[in-house]
Amino acid sequence: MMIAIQHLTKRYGSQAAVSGLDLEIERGSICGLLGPNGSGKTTTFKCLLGFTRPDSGTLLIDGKPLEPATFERLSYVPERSALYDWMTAAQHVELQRRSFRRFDAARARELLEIFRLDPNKKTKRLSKGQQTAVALVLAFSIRPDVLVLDEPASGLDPIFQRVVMDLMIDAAANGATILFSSHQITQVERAADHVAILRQGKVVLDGVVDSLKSDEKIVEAIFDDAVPPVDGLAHDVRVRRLERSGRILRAYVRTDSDAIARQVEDLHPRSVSVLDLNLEDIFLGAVEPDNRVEPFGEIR
Amino acid sequence: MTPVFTVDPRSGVPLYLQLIEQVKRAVALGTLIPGEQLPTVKALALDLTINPNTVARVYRELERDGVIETSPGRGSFVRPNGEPGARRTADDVAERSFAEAVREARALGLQRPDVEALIGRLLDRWYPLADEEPKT
Amino acid sequence: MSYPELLRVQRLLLVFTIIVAIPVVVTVCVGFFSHGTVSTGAGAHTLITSYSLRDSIAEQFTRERKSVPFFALESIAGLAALVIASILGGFLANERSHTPLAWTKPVSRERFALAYMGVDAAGIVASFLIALVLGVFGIMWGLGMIRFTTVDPDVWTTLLLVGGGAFAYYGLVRAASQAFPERPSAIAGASWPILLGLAAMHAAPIPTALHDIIVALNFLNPLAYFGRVESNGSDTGLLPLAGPLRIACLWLLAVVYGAVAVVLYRRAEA
Repeated sequence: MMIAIQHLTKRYGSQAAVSGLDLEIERGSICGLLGPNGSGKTTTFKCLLGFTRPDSGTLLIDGKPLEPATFERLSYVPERSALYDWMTAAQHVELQRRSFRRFDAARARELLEIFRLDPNKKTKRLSKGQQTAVALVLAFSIRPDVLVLDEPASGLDPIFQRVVMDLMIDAAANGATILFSSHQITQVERAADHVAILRQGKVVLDGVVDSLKSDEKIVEAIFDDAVPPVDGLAHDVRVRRLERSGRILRAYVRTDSDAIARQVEDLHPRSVSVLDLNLEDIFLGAVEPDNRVEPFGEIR
Repeated sequence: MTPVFTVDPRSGVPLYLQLIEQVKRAVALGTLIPGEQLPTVKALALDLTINPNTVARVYRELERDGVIETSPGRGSFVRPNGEPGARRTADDVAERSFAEAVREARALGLQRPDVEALIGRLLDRWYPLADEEPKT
Repeated sequence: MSYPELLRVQRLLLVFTIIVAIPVVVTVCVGFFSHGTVSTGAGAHTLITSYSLRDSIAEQFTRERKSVPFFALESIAGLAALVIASILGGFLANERSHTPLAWTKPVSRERFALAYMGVDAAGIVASFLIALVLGVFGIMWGLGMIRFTTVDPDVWTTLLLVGGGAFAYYGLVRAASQAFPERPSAIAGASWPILLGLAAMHAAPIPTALHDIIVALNFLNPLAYFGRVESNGSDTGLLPLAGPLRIACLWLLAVVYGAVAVVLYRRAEA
């Protein structure tokens, strides 16, 4: 495991920003962190990077607790710009050069060009997207093994958002491990192989994106008459949620949709179909199970 | 020339399955010819802007299915399976499409004889018994 | 890693140099080019002689056998360094909004803080030298007073006092702004009236109990350590400490404040 977070808890006052969070990311993997605002993404990053002390839990990077030397090969891009307003992009790059042995000047120049940044412009004269771009230049210029990116595409136009994803993909293909948060689910669907969904400071769903798409399905059955009793399904752990209305039965399935479909077929519906869920459907299902507006009467 | 693969990350179909399907289709159609080199994992991942581990998984599964072979240091190549190999791959791709269509027909409530009649009609259209041009 | 601080200090010193240069240029212009006239004699025998300001000052110093002690010049430069120290003291706390940049460098927090403080200390020394060489000597030269400067044995004790004072002041503001990081510049600004007031109350007619508290607090007040220590042993300081001991305590104070600032920085969270 390149990044291992075990039972992380962080309280601010009586409010737990993160409570018992577990997350492990393998070397070379890109993990997308999804979650509503306030679900604990940024707090998790702050604990992981040692900006704040967790109340409990273990945080390991490459099997070791964080130490100053870890940062020689770890880059962080914060959600909000941490750049010095009065410094130019070139001066920020110089700061990086002085701070890191692994700093790659040619790479930094290349990245400045990719993002079309004027190295001699002061930060305060850059747009929010350009400031994000400077932070990305700094992060990738040390050729890090571990990248922690909090909303790395915020403020960027679609072209540069694609550039950010390409940078992540390129780094991962060269063995880097990346943890990034995003509100744009499509970015996670593209760049990430691993997704973790946070809700109220906990990981509620965690896995390989493609496996989640293979597993999570809707089994929909249409009956000739009213839907018969489905107690067996309602108590099946493989079924996340069951909806029924009149002649239609819908089972949101965690895994094993074929078996569930066969079980539904035993009820002799007129038709049964297995519907695919994309990551957005899966995400919404995972973060709002309690207060989601049900178009159909819910059984449990 | 490497065929253009396209994937839809927003689809509910796992990306690796989409890509496997496309490579197999390209091999079956002959747009990828035996012995042809496939892009590296990194190049294809960057080309499609998808995760490199996903591409690596595609290559692993294609290798397991006997569609491609990978030699360390040289890259991945379409396996020279000859005619039977290409037919098997074509079979594979076609079966998936059929399975999907049959499942849909069933979901729509068609009975077995209805589906058989439907398939018969389609076969007549695309595989006419007489040696005449298929109607378009 | 302390590169931004280096840039900040450079900019501050540039502004400081310009501010110091203005009175120097004015004085040099006035000293060399303003001429007064002196009339001697009366009636048709009046002799009108033209004097520059430099000439008249030189004439007056020579006539009255006056001199300018070097320690006084050091003290003026020291005061300027003190102002710079109080400004620099608030800078590290400003790093809070740059935490994601500052705390993701491969150095420990202690080393990071020490590197910053090292840059600031160099800046304080530089500001003292600028104030002394450019400012004080420039003005003295403009007025033609350099040759009346006398160097006495107090030079070194004064240097140690102003140096220790500037560093201790810097350390105090740094530690205080680290403890209350929300408003570092307010702390730097408020430090002057508070510390001067504390020193002034030392001699004020106030109740004994309160006076004792003031005296105790003044041991922590870098400004209370100033006062002339003469080589003959006479001492005009506020605190009941003999000259060399006072200097030692002042430097100790500087080190303690610096250490407190480092410890507070290490414990800070973002």
